[in-house]
Amino acid sequence: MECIIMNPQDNVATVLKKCIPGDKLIIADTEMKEVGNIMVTEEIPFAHKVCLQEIKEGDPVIKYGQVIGKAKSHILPGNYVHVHNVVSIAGAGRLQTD
Amino acid sequence: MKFAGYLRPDGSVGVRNFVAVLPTIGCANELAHTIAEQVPGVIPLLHNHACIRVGKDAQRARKTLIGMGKNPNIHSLLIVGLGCEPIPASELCEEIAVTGKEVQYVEIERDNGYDAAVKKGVEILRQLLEKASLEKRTECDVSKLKIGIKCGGSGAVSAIASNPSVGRAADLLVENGGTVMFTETAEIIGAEHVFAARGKTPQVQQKVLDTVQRMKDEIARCGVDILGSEPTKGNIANGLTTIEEKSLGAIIKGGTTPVIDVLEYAQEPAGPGLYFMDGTTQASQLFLGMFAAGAQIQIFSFGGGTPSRIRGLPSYPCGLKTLPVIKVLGSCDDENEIQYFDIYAGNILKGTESIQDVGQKIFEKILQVAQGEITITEGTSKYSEMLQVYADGLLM
Repeated sequence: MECIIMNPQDNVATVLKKCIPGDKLIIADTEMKEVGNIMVTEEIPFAHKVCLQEIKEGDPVIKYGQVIGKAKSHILPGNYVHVHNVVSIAGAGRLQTD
Repeated sequence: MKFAGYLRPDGSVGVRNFVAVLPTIGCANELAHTIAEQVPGVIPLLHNHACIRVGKDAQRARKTLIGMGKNPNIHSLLIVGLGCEPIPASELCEEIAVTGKEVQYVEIERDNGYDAAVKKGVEILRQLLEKASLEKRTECDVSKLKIGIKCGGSGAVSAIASNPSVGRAADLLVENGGTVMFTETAEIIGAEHVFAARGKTPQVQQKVLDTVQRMKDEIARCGVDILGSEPTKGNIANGLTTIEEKSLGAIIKGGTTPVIDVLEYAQEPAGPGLYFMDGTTQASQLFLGMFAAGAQIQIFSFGGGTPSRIRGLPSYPCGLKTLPVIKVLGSCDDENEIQYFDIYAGNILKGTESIQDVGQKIFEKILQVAQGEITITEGTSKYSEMLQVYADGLLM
């Protein structure tokens, strides 16, 4: 398995290999069924996230079919998705008074 | 389904048969240590409770000490006290003795000083150890098992491999009439709406939400940024970006059965099924809370990614020698580390094993460990630490 999407609604997936730009990954669902593919545009470490669909600044990042945070910048398919471009909105990870 | 365990007078079942020495308070640790040192084979349960705790924390410490003594993995025990502590040795003794197990105490004040207390304590322990050695395992029902579950070294793979496998084992134990407890209130934040929906009744659902809200309110009151603690630096290196992502992956480890109730730290569940315990994410404090609530076995579900070097520590998380820990590894990124684990779930990531397969293996391992098979940690590490009773309030 190279890349796994946890829920069909997700706009990110987890890569299961160390990726370099140009890598084309087969995306599997949690039943290990092939559901598509994605061309990686940045280096992504093992078990980190790749963007599957365009996410505009401020838009929700979806994993497990749930909101896991919002985009701090415009994220394109194939981009590396992590703390540099996503921020928590559950109240944690931020000063509540912000 | 049956396993061979130590049936106790109150009907509970131990998976181990320890004789323990329990101090009434941290100030009595030296006395406990000195006595235990002279009787090889007994387990000193040194801890950090002190008169500095007040209110809810003091009550919680009391409940924890009583629960530790009552746990069926303890055959019998010696309480050691000073005479000036908030929970007198005699009182602790009475509370634990309701289980029908043998519990005695020595106290510096009552027993004419430190040296006399040591001498008396050693004599009592030798007798208890002899009696414990005569205990035999008998056939017991799997429904007598209570297990605690924790995840750690979490990464994105935790939610794909280790946590769902552990969750599957939890479901199997609940289906067989057993009890499962898991905790870590901070790691529900961001997933509370999903998790609360699993509450058995609307009251339990509300209790889950209230428990998480209390923690969120406390974070707000402290005005802190929890990033770096939730998720930790290691979690971030392992691919987890936000607490929402971590929590949504963490709740998987409890399986899929309804949540019967929300327990306080160290509170014993009223019946079988899945329970959530309010409390800290810190491993040793968390394990102590589970043990005091009656857990005989603990599962530690590791995720990973190379930065989680805690995975390579033979004893981690350590401190509670009376609670065997089954360690499950989720990641396949460094297979040299498989040797540190009782169960390897990394094949799920390769597609060569299913969550059901590994969940079944974990369930079988629980039964084997319950029958006396030693865990990797039991077999490789003598290291132990002072036990820390969870406190979240005012310390004087």
